[in-house]
Amino acid sequence: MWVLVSMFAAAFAASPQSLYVEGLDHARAGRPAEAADAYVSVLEAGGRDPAVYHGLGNALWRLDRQGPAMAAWRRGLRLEPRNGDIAANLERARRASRDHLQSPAPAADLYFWQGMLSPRDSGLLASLFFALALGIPVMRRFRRHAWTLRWDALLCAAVGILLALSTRAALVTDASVVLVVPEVSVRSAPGPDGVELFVLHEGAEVRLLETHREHHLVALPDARKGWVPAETTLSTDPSAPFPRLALVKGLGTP
Amino acid sequence: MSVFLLILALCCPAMAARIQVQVEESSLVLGQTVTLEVQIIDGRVTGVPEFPVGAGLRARYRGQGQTRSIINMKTTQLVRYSYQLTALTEGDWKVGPFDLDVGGQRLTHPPLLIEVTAASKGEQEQVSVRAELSDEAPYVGELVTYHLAFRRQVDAHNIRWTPPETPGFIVEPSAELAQRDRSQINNGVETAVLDIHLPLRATGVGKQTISPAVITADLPAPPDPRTGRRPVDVFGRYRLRSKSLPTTPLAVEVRPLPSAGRPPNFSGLVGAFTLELAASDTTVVREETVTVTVTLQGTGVLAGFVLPAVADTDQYRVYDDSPTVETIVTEAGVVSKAVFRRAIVPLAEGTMTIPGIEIPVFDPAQGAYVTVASPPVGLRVLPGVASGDESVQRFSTGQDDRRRDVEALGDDILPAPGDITVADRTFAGALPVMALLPMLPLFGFAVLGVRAVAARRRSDPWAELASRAVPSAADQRMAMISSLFRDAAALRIGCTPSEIDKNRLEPLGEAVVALYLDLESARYGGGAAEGLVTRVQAFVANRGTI
Repeated sequence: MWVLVSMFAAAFAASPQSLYVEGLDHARAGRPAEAADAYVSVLEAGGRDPAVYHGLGNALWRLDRQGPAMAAWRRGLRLEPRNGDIAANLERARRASRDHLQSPAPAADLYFWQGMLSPRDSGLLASLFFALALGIPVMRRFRRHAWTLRWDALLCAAVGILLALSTRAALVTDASVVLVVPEVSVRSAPGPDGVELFVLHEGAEVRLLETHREHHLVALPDARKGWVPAETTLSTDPSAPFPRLALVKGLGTP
Repeated sequence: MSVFLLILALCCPAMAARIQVQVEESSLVLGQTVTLEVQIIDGRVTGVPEFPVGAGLRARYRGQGQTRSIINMKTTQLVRYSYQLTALTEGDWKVGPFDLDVGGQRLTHPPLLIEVTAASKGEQEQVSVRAELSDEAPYVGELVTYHLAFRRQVDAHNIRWTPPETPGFIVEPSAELAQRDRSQINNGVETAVLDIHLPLRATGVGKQTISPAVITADLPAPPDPRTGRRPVDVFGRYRLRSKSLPTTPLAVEVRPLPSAGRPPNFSGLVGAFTLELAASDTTVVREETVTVTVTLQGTGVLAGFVLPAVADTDQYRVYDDSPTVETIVTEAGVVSKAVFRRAIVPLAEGTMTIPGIEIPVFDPAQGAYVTVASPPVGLRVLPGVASGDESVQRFSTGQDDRRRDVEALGDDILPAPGDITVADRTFAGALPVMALLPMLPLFGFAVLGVRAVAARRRSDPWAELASRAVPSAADQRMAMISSLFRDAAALRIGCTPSEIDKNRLEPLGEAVVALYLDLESARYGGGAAEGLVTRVQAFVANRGTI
């Protein structure tokens, strides 16, 4: 019975596409709060698309929620690094930030192409090259004397390995968060016992090094480090849930 | 003599810190450069050690190094200060005394005596350096050329020069140093000459001495006095020796500009100048632009010079453009050229005259103030309707582009796209595809493997024999197993089934021969047939053996 009810509910539930269109309609009608709510629903329904994060960031920006808006745009940009519109919006928000921080660098200089590719893109390319590396010997069964195929398999395997390594580097080293509260003290240890090192403001983009006891150890581009409460930040990982609390101004303040 | 001379002085034996001074050679040939080292043992000085050097020598600091050694469990620290010592004038000269403050202690070292002798005549003839000034009694503000000529009749490598110190002069920044290589033949001997022309501007009045410039080059070592031949290396090339050749110092007297006859509007230019003025057109429409080009050329410095201003009148307005100034150093001296462009916009019709330009300058050749002038320019102005401002704008930009930048009124974020299909575009969302893609070739491998196995099975004759069905009818069964045995035996022996007989089967063993005889007996002689099917099938299954 429960299965039947679930199937019935799923059949009539709004699709991510229709929810996105609904969010767009709200945004165009000047209702950013409803638009943001619809976009979060799209994400919860599995539609983690750069366009959704783009729209969500726009709606949050209209709601004067700079930090969450920047987090949403950062997520969108990680899914589609070549999206100039999201990059322009993010750059504009950065100019409005109180903390003048250097923009986050690409995942690794060694894997320069990762600046143009999302982990999904590079992962798919790696998979394709591995498929080619395995498929070329199959082709050689039919074209034994095709000398071009002799080295191609090795080359494809090498490219596939490089792409896999760069994908891994992008996934592992690009962990960062955005401050979503007006002001937070960065301390030398988790909790109020730590010495207050410096103060960050909403919209500050910092690298996430470690999480411990509901606190994040974050690092600034100039290598300064410190602990902040986890609820004062929002992850830039597009796979992470986007809390509805972030839509409400004032919540999340420690 | 290329051995190191060690001159050691233990100044304060009771104290730990010591000074050592080492010079590569104490007897130098004119122009020779050697290394001098001041060594501080177990101590430190503040800054670089300074010491007096004889007038015929020049010492230049090159750098320092530090070593630490442990001997008999005792650590010794050695700080080396290196100097390049160049012999400039013949005679006996002193370097030192060395009076240094080493960690609060006052340590001294006696002076070194350096003997400088002239180079051999043959060497002097082969390599020489000479310097001269284009004017040995210049006026202040005058531009002169310091000319250095390095002549050699032997190959010289890695040639570099140290400019002279020029008190009372500054190196003119608007002109670049000129350097030229040439060759000349004197009495049938080819001589290579390097000419260096350095532009100097006289700034300090009075007697001045320009110190020697030094040319340093790698030259072939002098001939061995015993053999009369130059030493060569293992490859047969002349051994090279770094040699410094100083010029003689130059005595100069810089004269002040005379106060007598100095015009009140003196431009400050010193040199011989000419002035030219040319108009782009002598007929112009009212409020159109005519460009007047003023070219001032001469032997003085023109960088920073500004044309005398011309005030606007009711008849015309004047707009000056930025001038272009070029200064070239040649063998004949320094030549400067400044080109000024002046836009004239006539405001009234008829005939008008643009006044000429007068520039009072000081001519060193005449030793007096002169005025260089250009004649006035006459213009005929025709009636017109053009706007003066637009004309001037065209003049200043050099193109007739009236477009303006798009004016920004505000700034906002860029909207999200509408025509997209929403999907999970995260890395996790693409994982199934990433996993499946490499599986496709694996599937191909599997298909190929199955095909290969099937092909192998199809081509195995023993498998084919083993798969033959045995008929149920007794006569047919007997014929079939007899045929099966023959085929199997033929396959084993490598002959045709019809060639099978007892003799051919003997190599396969007695049991096979017995099976053959039993089959023949059962088929043609009425022998017992029991068990023959099983025995033949076993023979086939064992690939022709029992």
